Amino acid sequence: MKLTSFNHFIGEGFEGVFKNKSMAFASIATTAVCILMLGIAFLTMKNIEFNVENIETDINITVFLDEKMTEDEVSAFKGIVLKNSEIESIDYISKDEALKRFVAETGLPEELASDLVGALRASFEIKLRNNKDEQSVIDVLSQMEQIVKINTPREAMKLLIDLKNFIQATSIAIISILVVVGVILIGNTIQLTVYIRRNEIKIMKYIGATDWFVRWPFIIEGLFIGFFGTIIPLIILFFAYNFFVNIFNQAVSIDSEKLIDFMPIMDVYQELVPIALILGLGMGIVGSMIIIRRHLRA
Amino acid sequence: MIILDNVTKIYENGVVGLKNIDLRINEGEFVFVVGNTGSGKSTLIRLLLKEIEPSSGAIVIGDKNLTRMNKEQIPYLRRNIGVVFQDFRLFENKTVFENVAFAMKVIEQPAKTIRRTVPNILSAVGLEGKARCYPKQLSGGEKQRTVIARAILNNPSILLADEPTGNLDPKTSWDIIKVLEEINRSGTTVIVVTHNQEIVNSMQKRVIQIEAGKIIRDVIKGGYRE
Ligand SMILES: Nc1ncnc2c1ncn2[C@@H]1O[C@H](COP(=O)(O)OP(=O)(O)OP(=O)(O)O)[C@@H](O)[C@H]1O
Ligand SMILES: [Mg+2]
Repeated sequence: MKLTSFNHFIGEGFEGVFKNKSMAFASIATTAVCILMLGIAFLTMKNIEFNVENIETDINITVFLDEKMTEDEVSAFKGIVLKNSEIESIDYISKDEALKRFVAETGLPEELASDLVGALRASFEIKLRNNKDEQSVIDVLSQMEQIVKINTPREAMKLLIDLKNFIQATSIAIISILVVVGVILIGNTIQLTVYIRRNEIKIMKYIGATDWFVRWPFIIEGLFIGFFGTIIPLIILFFAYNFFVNIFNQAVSIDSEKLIDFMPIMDVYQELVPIALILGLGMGIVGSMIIIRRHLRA
Repeated sequence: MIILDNVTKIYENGVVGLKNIDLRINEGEFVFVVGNTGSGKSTLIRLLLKEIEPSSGAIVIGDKNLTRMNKEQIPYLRRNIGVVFQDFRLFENKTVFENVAFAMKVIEQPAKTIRRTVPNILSAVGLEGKARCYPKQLSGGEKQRTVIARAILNNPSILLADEPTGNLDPKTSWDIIKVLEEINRSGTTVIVVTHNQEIVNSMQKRVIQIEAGKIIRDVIKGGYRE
């Protein structure tokens, strides 16, 4: 493609957008909503993943043993557990140790705490080599009759992971529908431009324009729509996210300790911007190609 | 050279456009194509542009067999054939200069070449001073000159004109024919479809008369009627 032709295509493509403003606006708006949904879902999921990871890094399984066990039985138990290659270490937490931790966590005075947790028991804290093995380790442990109770931080995490999966599934469904609607609208917009330009297209063909020379302006028009439909929501989301994070942190922080660790937006955008551009520009190209195939056959 | 070998065109609805046409037109000829309305003149033009396909027979232009040519080659065929219509077909939103220049843009000529060539062509067809006008600011004759300028800009070896004077008054029609004759003088093959009896009679050029899809008369020097 020569440079002069390139300028021509860009000019014509841009003019196409402005020739039928309302249709172009509708397509840009639909694409924008699509990308906005993608962005919101992406930000939410990334933040959940980020926070789950934070929890996961210090994941421990706590097991409580039958109190009637003798010391020999307990150390025999430790030996059995350590044979499991998925387990890194097993540490004994005495009643006193458990109480200290509880006080540190809650900030309650020690006497009050000891009253409250009279039922505190000695336990073993099991660290895993790899957090992914958690379920299989729990399965093994729960077979052992010496163990009375197993505590895992899984419950809270499971909720978050379920939430993330739910957001992922719903957003994929909604985004898919929006992508289809967006592609159709972009197609209609370009079809209208093709219609407005039908005579020009005829003339161009009479004077020896190649099919691609005729097509390029319409592809560029689709790309313009896709581009603006991507960039606008990304800019809006950028400011909205930072605004939301500030408000949220101010409202829900306790003693300036953040409840949720939000990811810096630039970290998320490093991944989101390319994905959004591929989706948005892709919608533009697909929308224009459908129409070009249907209406600009030689 | 243009050769039509036993060309028949039957439209999808069964209407016969042309039937068993054998025709030869040499390089540099000036040919009038005449005949009643609906006789098949425009069908001939559209076959030469490969806008439509013959139902049977072969068409050769220069060293190219149109019936064997694939779609990708059509643009390159048309770059060698200038075409002028009764209804002008100009870009309404482009100036005279831009309209003409567009023919060079389409074949991806550099802007410099375009700026150098277009003014020459405009003055060759008598449009000096009209470069910045839009089509709606032009008379019919000026519009047709613009179309002709666009058609010859890339030095085609053939110029096809389908009723180029159909919308013009007698005086302007003569001006346009003179421009076409001038173009022919430089070696371009010119084929003019027309209903203008006076012009055909006084020019005394080759006349091909088509009636009901058949060539009924082909004379080296002739008038509108026998
Ligand atoms: N696309 C088409 N489909 C079907 N029939 C057509 C088509 N184009 C032309 N015809 C028919 O073919 C015949 C020849 O048409 P053509 O346009 O070649 O005539 P013409 O000699 O150019 O007439 P005019 O002098 O009025 O321009 C006519 O009967 C016309 O109705
Ligand atoms: Mg006709």
